[in-house]
Amino acid sequence: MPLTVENLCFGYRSDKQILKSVSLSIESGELVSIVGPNGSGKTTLIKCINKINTPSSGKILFDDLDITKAKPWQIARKIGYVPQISSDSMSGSVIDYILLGRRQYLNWKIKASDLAVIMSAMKKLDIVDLANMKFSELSGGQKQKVLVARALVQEPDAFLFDEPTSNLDIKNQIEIMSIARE
Amino acid sequence: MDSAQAIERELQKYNTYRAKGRRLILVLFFMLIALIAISASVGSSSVNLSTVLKVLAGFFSDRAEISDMQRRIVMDIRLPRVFCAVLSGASLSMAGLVMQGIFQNPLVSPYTLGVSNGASFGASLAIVLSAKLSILGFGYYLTPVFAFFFSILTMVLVYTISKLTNHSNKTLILSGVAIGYLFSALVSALKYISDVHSLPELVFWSMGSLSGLRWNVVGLLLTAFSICFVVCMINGWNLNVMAMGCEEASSLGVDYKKMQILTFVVTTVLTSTSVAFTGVIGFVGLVSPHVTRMLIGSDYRYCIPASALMGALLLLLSDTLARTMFSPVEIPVGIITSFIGVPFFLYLVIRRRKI
Repeated sequence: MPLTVENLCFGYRSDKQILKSVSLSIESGELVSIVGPNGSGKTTLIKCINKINTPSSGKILFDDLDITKAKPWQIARKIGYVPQISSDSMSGSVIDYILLGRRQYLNWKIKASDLAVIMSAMKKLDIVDLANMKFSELSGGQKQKVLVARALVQEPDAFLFDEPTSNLDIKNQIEIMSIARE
Repeated sequence: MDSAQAIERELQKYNTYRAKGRRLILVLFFMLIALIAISASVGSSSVNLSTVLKVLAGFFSDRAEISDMQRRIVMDIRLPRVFCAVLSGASLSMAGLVMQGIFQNPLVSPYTLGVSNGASFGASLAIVLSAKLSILGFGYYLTPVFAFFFSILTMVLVYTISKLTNHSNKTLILSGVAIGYLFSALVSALKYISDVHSLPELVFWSMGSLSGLRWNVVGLLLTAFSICFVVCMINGWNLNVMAMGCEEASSLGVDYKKMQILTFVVTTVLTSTSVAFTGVIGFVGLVSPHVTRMLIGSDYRYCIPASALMGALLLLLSDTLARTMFSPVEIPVGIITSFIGVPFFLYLVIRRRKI
């Protein structure tokens, strides 16, 4: 069972719980959507699975890795996370941005093999022409594709997408979903 | 054009951009060497570059024709001052660069968390109570020791308050501003009760100065800077990821809280050692990192050395002008850093139309 969540509880404040005893299990190769109204805790659940939020109680297991006790680098090698929005405070190029997804594999110097992985992900998402543009100057849809590329280059076992197609047109939505299915 | 060609073209562009960054660091390095030579050769006394070189040659040969006075001017006054300017400028700029990245805020400087106010209070206390505090036996180091102690105390206070709440960057900045105001009020109180002898010294310290610094200060600044520089360079990639903010940094595998503490310690050491000996020199830590990023991009592996060189250049140039423009009268260096930094900064902002 790759991902198992058991009795997960979380609240941003101690007196108000957002997640109450959530349990789920996801098999390898499954594409699962979590749906619900705004404010129901979808993003919060994803952040707990990725240990961005620390649950108040419950268990999260990915393969044999206990996510609640794992180090961030261990999780980053297992799970690629695509947020809804990203900070564009970094004034770097798209390549610089995607390179950050390779953090767990990078030595101080960038190797040609790392750049090859990045370019391959960009090709898959059809954003090679954006490589040397500034991330902050991209459109919402282009940014979303860059974030997906960044998660792809992490080469993880699973992906967590937080509304990955919210800024995309229909054509690109289909494209991203088919990449996610792959 | 097929995709293989497009990839090749984009990679070539990227590598050219990277090479430009490396070249720029080299250019800044040689500019700094040249400015060190110029700065050591100008001043109110008639010691020129050839005398400076003779004094340095005197270490290797006894036959260099130099007077004891010339040797003293070069070795005891000019060179320690030049190297203090280089190291202070580099420290402040590097601290500013790291803080602006971690806080994701372009207006943050090494003094945002109140360290300058804490240091000012410590220095003011030492100056006003120098007679009574002389029993502590610090002698020449009384003011720097007090400034250093209170700047560290400020940072510890700010960090503790932020930890008591939610540990966020916003709380950290707000705590820094609040504690800074508290120490600022205490400095005003000390100014109010100070006598005619200590008030001018107190005001002069608060405007920053590099005069009278000795080789042992160079040694202290060099030690602090070198350790912090190595720590920052080792963590170059982590700092790149940290600039994305807590959520994204964590999801990309960086231990955000651990790195936040590490950068907090590094910037505190850099800023406190600098401010303790030179007083409050504004603007270097704010403007140099911006100028560096505009020229070289945001990759910390390149920005750290480039920003340190940029800060060193700005402060050394400012100090050289401060002591030579109206020689033998010396202008507080903080005034000059602003006069040089602001127009250059605004020029870059207008040219690039953004920070």
